[in-house]
Amino acid sequence: MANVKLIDVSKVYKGNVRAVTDFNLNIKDGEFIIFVGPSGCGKSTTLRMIAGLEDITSGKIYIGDTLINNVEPRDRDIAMVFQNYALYPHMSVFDNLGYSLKCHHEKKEVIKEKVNNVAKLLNIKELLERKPRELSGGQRQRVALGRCLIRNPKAFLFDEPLSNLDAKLRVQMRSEISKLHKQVQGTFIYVTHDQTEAMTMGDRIVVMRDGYAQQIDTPVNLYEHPVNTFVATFLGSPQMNIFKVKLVEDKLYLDERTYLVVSEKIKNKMIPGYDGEELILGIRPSDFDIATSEDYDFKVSQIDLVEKLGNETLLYLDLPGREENTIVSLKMDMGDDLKGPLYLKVNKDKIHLFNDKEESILKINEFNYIPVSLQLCGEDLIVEKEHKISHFKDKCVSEINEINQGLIRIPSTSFTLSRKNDDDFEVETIIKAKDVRSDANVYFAERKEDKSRITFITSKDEHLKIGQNIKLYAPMSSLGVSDDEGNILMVNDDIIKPIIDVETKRIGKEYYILHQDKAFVKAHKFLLIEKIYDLNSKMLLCVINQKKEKMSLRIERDDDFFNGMLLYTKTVKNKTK
Amino acid sequence: MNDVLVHKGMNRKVKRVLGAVGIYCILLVVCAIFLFPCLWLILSSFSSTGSLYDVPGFFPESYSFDAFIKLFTDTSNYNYPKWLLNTLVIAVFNCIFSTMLIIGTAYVISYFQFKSRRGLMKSALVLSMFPSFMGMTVIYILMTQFNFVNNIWGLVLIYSCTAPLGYLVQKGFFDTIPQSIYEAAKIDGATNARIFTTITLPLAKPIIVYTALTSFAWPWSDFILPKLLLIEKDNWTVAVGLMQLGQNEFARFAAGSVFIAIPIVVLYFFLVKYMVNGMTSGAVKG
Amino acid sequence: MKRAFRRLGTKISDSWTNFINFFKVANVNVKASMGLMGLGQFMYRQVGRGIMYLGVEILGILFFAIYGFQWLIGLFTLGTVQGDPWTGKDGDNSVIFMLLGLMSLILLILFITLYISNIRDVSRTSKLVLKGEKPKNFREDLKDLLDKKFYKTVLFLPLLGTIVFSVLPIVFMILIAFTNYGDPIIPPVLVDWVGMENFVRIFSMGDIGPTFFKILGWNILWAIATTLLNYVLGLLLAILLNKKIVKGKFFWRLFPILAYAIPGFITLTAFKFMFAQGGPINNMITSNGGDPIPFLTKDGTWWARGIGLLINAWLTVPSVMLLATGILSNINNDLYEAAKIDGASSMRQFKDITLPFVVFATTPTLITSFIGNFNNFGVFYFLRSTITSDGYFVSNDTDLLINWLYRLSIDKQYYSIGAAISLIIFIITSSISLIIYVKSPAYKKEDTFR
Repeated sequence: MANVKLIDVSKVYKGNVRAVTDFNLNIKDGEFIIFVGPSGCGKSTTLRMIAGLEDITSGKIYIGDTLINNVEPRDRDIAMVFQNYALYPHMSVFDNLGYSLKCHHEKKEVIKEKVNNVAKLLNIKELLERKPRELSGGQRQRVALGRCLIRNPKAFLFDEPLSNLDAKLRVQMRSEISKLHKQVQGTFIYVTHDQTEAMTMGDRIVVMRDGYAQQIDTPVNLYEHPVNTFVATFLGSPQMNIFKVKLVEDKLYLDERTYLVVSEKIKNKMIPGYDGEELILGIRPSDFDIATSEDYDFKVSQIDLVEKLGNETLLYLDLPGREENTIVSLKMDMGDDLKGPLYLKVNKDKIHLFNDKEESILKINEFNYIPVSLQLCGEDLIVEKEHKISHFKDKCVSEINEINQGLIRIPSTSFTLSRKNDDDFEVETIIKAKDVRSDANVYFAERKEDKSRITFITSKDEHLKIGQNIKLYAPMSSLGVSDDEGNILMVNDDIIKPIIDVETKRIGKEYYILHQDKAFVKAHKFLLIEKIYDLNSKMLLCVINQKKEKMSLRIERDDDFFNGMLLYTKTVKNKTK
Repeated sequence: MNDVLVHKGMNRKVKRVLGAVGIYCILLVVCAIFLFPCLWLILSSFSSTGSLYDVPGFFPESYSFDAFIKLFTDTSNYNYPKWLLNTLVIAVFNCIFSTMLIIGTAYVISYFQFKSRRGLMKSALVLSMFPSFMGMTVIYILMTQFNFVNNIWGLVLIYSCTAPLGYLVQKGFFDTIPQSIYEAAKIDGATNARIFTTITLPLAKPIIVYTALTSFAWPWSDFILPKLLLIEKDNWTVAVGLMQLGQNEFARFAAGSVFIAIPIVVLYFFLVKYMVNGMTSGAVKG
Repeated sequence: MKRAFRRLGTKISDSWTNFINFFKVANVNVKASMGLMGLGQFMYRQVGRGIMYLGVEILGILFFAIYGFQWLIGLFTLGTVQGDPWTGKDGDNSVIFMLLGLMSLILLILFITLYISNIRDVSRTSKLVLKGEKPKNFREDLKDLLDKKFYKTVLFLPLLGTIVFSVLPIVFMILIAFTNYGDPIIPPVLVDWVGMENFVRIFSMGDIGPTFFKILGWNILWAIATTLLNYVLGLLLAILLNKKIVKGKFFWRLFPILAYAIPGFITLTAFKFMFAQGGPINNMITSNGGDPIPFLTKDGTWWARGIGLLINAWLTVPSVMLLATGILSNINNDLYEAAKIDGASSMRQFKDITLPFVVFATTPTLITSFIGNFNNFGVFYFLRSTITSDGYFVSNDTDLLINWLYRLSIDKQYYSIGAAISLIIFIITSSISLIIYVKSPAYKKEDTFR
C-alpha cells in the first residue's frame, strides 16, 4: 500500500492533441479516489499513465516515494481491472489468477494457496477449473478482481469495471467493491463515467473535462460547492437548474419583476465586483419547497408534467430566467390536487452563482489580505512595528530598497483560536456566517479594525456561534508579503535566492536561457523548472532546484512554460543589461 | 376479392418453384464445369494406356492401376519417389521457418508501436508491388554466378526469407486480440517475450495452423522458382517433374497429379474457413 | 511546385540550424561520441554499449579501408580487366563487381545509420542523467531486448531475409536495367553502364518496340477482361449460393473449392492436354469427321486468348466466390428486414444493400487481383510457351509482359532488356494500384492502412 502523487502531469498525443493538462493530485494511502467525467475527458488516460500503459509527456508520477515515470508497468507493483475484464481466454480461472505470481517466480505451492484464498474471498472457488468464456459477466468481473487482489499491490486501478454489466449486477458489484476496499485497506483509483458510482463509492472524486481536472473534492463538497457549472450540472440527478440572472446590490433578478435576495452566507462567499453584472444562478431541484401565498419566491400557475417516483415527486414547470422546463423535486406525495397556483420557495443558503465564464463566484478565500505598515530593518522586515520576518532579503523575490506599506497574506487555514507563539499575528473579528463542509467548518468574519472580510477554516470539532467576537492568531511563518499593488514580494518562508532576470529564447522545441550575469550556474546546463508562480501580470517566477538549493528566475510570461520543463542555459556575450 | 388473393398466392408459389428449379439447374451446370476436368484427370490416371492419343474421346476404354505402379517403380527416367521426397523436405522446412518468420513479423507489426513501424509497412507494400518475378531472375543470375543452383536448401532459404512480406493476413488476426489482454499481462508482471510465449502464441493457434499449412502446401504447387533453380532431374520437385511429362506420358502425369492433389485438396477443405477469414480481413484492412 | 521547393528549402535550413544548435548544446560526452563512436558511452560507464559502438567503428573502418572502398569504385567501373578463358587469364567479373559494390553501399548506409544512432543514444543518455536518472547498464540493455525492444529481436531475421532476398535483388535488377548486361555481353565479357539505352530501345520502333506495344495492349485488355469476368462470375456464384432457397450449401460449395485447391500447374497442364492438337476435344471432332480446331497452335490467336480467359476464370472464380461469401455473411440481416418493411423488392435490396456493401469491401482485393492478373504468368506459360509468333520479338501473340520478360531473361539471357521491362511493369502496376487505391471508397471512408 502506498500513496500516489501526480505532479503537473500532462499527456499530449501526436498531432498536438492534449488529453490531460497539468494534472495535480495527491492520493493518500488507502484512499478510494474516483476519476469521473464524460467520455474523452482524459480520465482513462490519466489512469493509464499511472499504470504505465501510456507515456507521460511531462510531469511526474510517484508511487510511494519512487518516481515511476520511466518504470515499466510490471515494476510499478500495481494491479488493474479493465473494462472488458481482459482475462486470458486460453487459461483456466486458476491460471488467470496465478499468472502474475508465476511471472514473479513464486513457488507452485504458494501460488496454489494464494489462489485458493482469493477464490474463497470472492466466492469463486467452484469456478477455478473453468475457462473465462464459460463464465457470466459478473463471474468474469470477480475473476478480474481476484487477479488484482492476489498480489497485494501498492495501488488498485479500475478502468470503468462495471460498465459492461447490466444495471442490477452493477449495483451489486458496486457495493462489493466498496466492501472490498474496506477489507483490503488499499489505495483504489477508479475511473467511471457514471456519477452515481462516483458519488457512492469514492472518498474523493476528481471531476474531469477536456483533460483538465475541474475539481477534486469529497462527494459532499462537490455536490454542495461545485467550482463551475460543469461540475454543478454533471453531478446530481436530476440536474441542477441553471438560470440567467442579474445581480443588483443584493438581489438576483430573474426578470424585471422576479428576484431572489442573496443570503448573508452567500454574500460572504461571493467574490466582490460583480454588482450589476449578468450571472448564472444554479438551484438544485431538491432546494425548492412548497411555500404559502404570503411568503414565496415563485408563483407558478401551470405545471407541465408530474413524475411520481415514490419517495419524491418531480415537477416540470416554467420559471423566468430559463427557457427550458425547470425541474422541482419535492420530498412528498403531491397527490392529484395540483389545481390553482403553486407557491414555491428556494433554500437561499444553497444557491450557486457563476460568472459569465461559468466559474463559481462563491469561493472560500484561500488567503486573507490585510493592509499593514512595513519597514525594512537590515536583513529583516518589521510588520506593524512589532512582528519581525527575519532574513526577508533572502526570501524576497524582487529587489526593494524601501517600503512603507503593503499587504500581508494569511492563508485561511493557518488561523488558530489561541495564541501559539509570542509573535503570532493577531486579528480581532466578529463571526458573520458559517459554512459546513464534510471535513471542516468555514467561518466568515469581519475584521473589527477596518470591517474587511476574513475567512478562516477550522476543524469540524470547534463550534463557534454567529455574532461571536473572536481573536484569531496566525504564525508569522505562514505569512506571505506583497506590495500595495499586489505584486508578490515573498512567496513563503522558503529561502529562494538569488533572483535573476533572465531572457529566454525559443529555438525549435527547446527554450534557452540567455544570461549575462556572472553565471549563477554554469552555462551549458539544463535546468529543471520545479514550480512556476505568477509574479504579476507580466512576469513569471520560476523556482528551480539546483544542487538541492532553491533558486528563482524571473521570466517574461509565456504560456508554453510548464512545471517540470527543462531550460538550457547559454551565455551571451556583448550584451548590456 | 378473395379469389384475386388466392390467385395471386398461387402465382407466387408457382413462381417460387420455378425459380428454385432454375437455380438448381444453374448450380448443377456450375458444378459440372468444376467437376469435369477433375473427373477426367482422375479417370485418366487409371487408364490402362499411357498416351493421350490412344483415347478417342475424354474417357479411357479400359482401366488399371498401371500408371500408379509405374510411377513408383519405373524410376529410371522420371524418379517420382525422389521428387516426392525432395518436395517433402522443402515443404517441411519451409513450413517451420516461414511460419516462425511470418508469425513473428505479423505479431510485432500488429502489437508494437515503434518509430519505424509505418515506414516498414509502406516499404513492404511497395516491395510487394514489384513483380515477384523480378527478384527471381536476379536470384537466378546470382545463383548461377555463385554456382548455387541445383540445391534444394537454396530453395528453402529463398522461400523462407521472402515469406515475411506476406504478413498481412496474420497481422489482421493479431489485430483482433484486444490490447487490454496484453496490458493486463504487462501489469501482471510479464515481459514482452513472456507475453509472446504465454499469451500471444496460445491465442494465435488457429492462425499458426493456417500459416503452417499454407507454407507447407506452397512448395507442392510452385513451379517457377524450382524450375529456375533445380536443373538436375534428381533434384526436381513434384511440380517441375510433372510439368516435363509429355502427351505420351499422360496417364503417368494424371496419376502423379492425383497422388499429390488429394492430400492438398483435403487440407484445403479444412482450411477454407480460415482462408475466407484471412481473405476478408485482408480485404478490410488493406 | 515552387512552393514545394521553398518548403523543402526552409525544411533543410531548419534542420541545419537545428543541427548547429544541437552541436552547440551537446555536452562533452556527446561530442566525444561524435568524434569516436562509443566514447561518450564509455564516459557514462556504459561499457557494453561502448564496446559495441567502438567495435562497429573499428570493423567499419577496417572493412572500408581493405575492401569496401575498392568495391564501391567497382560499382562505377564494373571492372576494367577483360578475362580470357582461352589464355586462362583471370579478368574482372562485372556482375560480381556490381553485387559487391551494392553490398558495400548497403553496408555504408548501415554504418552511417549506426553512427547517427550512436550520437542519438548518447544525447538521450545525457538528458536522462540530467533528470537525475541512471544510465542503463549492459545487462539492462540485454533485458530490454526481451521486453521493451522485443520487436527488434523478433524483426531481426525477417528484416535480414527481406533485405537480402527481396530488396537487394530488386535494387540489383533496377541497376541492371541501366547496363548492357545480357547475351552476348555476359561475364567474362565486361559489362558497362549505358544509361537509358535499354528504355530507348523498348520505346523506339526498332526490333523490340513494336513487340512491346503489341504485348502491352493485349496485356491491358487481358487484365481488365479477366478481372471483370472473374469478379462478376464469382459474385454471382456467391449470391446464388447464398440464397435461402438453396439447400445443402456446403455440398454445392465443395466443387468450386475443389477447383481452388488443386495446384495450379496440374490444372493448367491438364487443360493444355485437353485443348492440344491431339487432345480429347479435337479427337472427338476428328472422329466425327470434322477438322481439328487450332486451339493453342500458332494460328489460334483468339482461340488461345479466349481459352486463356476461361481457364483463368475456372481457376480464380472459386476464390472470388469464397471471398464474397465471407463478405455476404457479414451483412447485418437487420438491413434486409428493414428494407423489406420499407417495401423494397428483392432486386432493390440487391442493388441498394448487397452490391454497395460487397463493392465497398472488395475494392482492395479487386486491385490486387487486377495486378495479379496483369502479371499472370502461369496461364500462357503453360498453354503456349513454346510458340513464337511472326512479328514478335522472342514471344507470341498471347504472351503477357511477364511471360515476355521470362523468355527474354531466362530463355535468351537478355538480362538488361528484361530488367528494363520489369521496371516498366512495376511503374504501370504501382501507379494503377495507387490511383485506384486512393479513389476507392474503402480508402476514402476509413483508414484502411492501419
